[in-house]
Amino acid sequence: MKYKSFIGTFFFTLILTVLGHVFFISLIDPQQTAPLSLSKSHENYHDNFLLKKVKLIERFPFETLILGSSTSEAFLVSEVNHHFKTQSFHASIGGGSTVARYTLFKKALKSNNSLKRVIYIADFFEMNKLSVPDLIAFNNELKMEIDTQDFMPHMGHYLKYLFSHQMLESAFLVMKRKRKNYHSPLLVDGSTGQSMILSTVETLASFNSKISSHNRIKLNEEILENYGTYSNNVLAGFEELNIHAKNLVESLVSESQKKSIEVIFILAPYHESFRKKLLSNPKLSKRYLEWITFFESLNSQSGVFVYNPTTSNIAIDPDSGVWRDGIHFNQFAATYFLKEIAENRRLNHE
Amino acid sequence: MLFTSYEFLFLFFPLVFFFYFVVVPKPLKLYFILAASCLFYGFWSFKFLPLLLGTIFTDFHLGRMIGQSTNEKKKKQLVVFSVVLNLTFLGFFKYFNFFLDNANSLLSLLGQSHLAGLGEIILPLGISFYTFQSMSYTIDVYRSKFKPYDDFFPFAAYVTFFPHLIAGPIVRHSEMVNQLSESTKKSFNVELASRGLVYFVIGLCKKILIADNIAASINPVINMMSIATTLESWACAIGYTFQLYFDFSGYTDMAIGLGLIFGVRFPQNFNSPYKSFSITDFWRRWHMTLSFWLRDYLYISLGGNRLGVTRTYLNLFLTMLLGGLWHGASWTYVLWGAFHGGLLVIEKRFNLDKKTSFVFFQSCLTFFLVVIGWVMFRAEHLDLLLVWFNKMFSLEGGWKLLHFSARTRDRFAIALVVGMALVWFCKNTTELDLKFKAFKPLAALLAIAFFIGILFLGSDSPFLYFQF
Repeated sequence: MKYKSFIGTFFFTLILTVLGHVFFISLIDPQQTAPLSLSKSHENYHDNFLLKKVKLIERFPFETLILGSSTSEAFLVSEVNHHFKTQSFHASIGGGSTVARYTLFKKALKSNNSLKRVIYIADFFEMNKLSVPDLIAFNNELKMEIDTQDFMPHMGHYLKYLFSHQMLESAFLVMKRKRKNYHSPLLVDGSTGQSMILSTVETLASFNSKISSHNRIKLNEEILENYGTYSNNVLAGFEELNIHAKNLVESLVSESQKKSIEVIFILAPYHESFRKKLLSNPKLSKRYLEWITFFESLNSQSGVFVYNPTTSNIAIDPDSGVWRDGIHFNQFAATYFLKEIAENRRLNHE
Repeated sequence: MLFTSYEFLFLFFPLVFFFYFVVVPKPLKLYFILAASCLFYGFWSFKFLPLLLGTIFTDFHLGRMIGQSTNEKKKKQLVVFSVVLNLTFLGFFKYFNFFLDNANSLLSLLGQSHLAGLGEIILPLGISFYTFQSMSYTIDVYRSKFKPYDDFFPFAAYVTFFPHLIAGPIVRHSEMVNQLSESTKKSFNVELASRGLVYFVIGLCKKILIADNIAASINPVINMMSIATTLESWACAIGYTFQLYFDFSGYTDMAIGLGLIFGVRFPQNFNSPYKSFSITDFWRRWHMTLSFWLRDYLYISLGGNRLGVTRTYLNLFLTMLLGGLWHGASWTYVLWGAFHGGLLVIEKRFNLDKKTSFVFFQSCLTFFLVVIGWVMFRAEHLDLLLVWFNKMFSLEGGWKLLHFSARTRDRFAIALVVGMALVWFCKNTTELDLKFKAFKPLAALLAIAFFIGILFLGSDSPFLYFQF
């Protein structure tokens, strides 16, 4: 009898714990994705930064939307505003997939009649296997922008997401924020005072600068670490350019054309050493060329301009001083690109 | 299908449990468990299922032929055929490319042209384990230790039984065939199931909460050992020592737990190996079923200690060398086997395998040597091994943790400290089982621990011994 009640107690406690977890997550709703939202989480505290950006997009009037991942962090709102004589919003998301960028674009399109331009900093990794971020897939407001269910997660995935330690940690984070009257570091134009990049390499304030020997050592270590992450994880199993990612990019272009919105694609370059290591893999080398070819093919479309700095000075000079690591260049390099694009457009219009 | 996967925990196991205990009538239970185990294996690849079943079928019938034969010469031929056949398959899938690469390297040195290869050869899951189990049957029958079985299905169910199919424990047929047959005739045993639940949850937590958290931190650093600091190289060595133990013993606990739920007792596989006072003692406590298998079927077959002192040392060394090679097709495994073989010989030669009043120092030294061995075991190739040892022993690489990810560093530290405390100051799972009392608070604690383990599922982290 005691063994029966032992097993009975085990399952009873388990069920109670599961229900308690679901109740707790529904109450806090840290990522605005709970199955039942039992309370409305103040928009300052919740942990769905995509939704936070969308709320800002809906409130803040702007003409230029900057889309990208951490590589686009270098493209400062002030520099874009200056070179394009515009008011821009920085909608970049760390590790931002094509789905995340497209969602933000659609929200901007819906809520902002003054949108004239999209600056899309394209990353090579985007075109690998596409997965819809959970923050979008399980939030009703965000997922409505994704038309196709072909690549949306299913109920099994949702249960894994709900019963994950990340969700529980996110709930505790939200509770902590409420207690400490947290203020979001997000500014009204979408930028933040905090960098997404952890590198300690000191870069230089000129496009043609050369890195110091001291920073060279640090940079090499960063590149080695980037290579490990990219080759084992981010770019693993890269068999072909993802068809859904390509379709989303093309949809972004066609929907922009309908509203006479200019689209500028900037193909984010890599540091020469990093790129050489990565592309020594023949499969990745092929994918990289296909990625460039795909975006350059969009150049022929009306209202689209593709800027390809993947063979610019900073991308072929291993001693370039603008690199924070193998993937992220600094704001001075980004400003140089912006200047070139603005100049090129000015010449085209004359 | 991993024991720590959602598919196993919430689909395969509940369904098999339900059908086995509720739906399937007793006369058919054995066939059902055989079918379920084949399905479990086929989840990885149905293509290799014929090889598994073919191995079992062949050895079963060879066992019968050996048992029925009265001609000693014919018996020997049959058992040699069984051993050669099993080792041929094992050798081909596991070692063909390894030997080919080494042969081609040698040919290059001699200025000769290379031998043609066969491309990538996929290693059938569990082949190292099931060939040993199946082969031990024919050897036992040949040695007249056991009579051959009359019925194929209990034997097949024993080899394929899913809790131990992929990564052990290496269970002897004598320990399990009758147990399995008997258990199918009985109803659900609540006491065994309770004990099984305890084993399973402890194993799950060991794997998910300790082993995987250590792995998340050390794997990226091991992959870039050339830029790691001295402190990081030691952190990786010690981290891997605990990762491997908690991963493998965690898996074993889960396997034992599943066996108990189905009314079958597996033998103990780990007995607090990091409390060993000598390498000899270590091998009585680590992967015990493999150690005993190597002793009974390799060491004794080579002559054991019956052919003089020098031959005893040689047999001991060779057994460990081949035991190392069994783990994988790489010179680092061979080196690891030779390292342990050499240490065992030294201990035997100088009587260092006895406990003394300096047992604390003996244990510290043993642990240190085991850690060094695990570095060889973990390094995928000799280049990495040399770099790793250089970082550890040159002491010039610096004493900061620069490359451990900030995201996983805290969890690594907690997992390591908890792991050390469990290994050195707590009872192991088998010892806990001996003192098991079905207290409700324990059941509640286990349920919460199980839930916490589920929260940390998700990342695809296979058990380390699956690769062998």
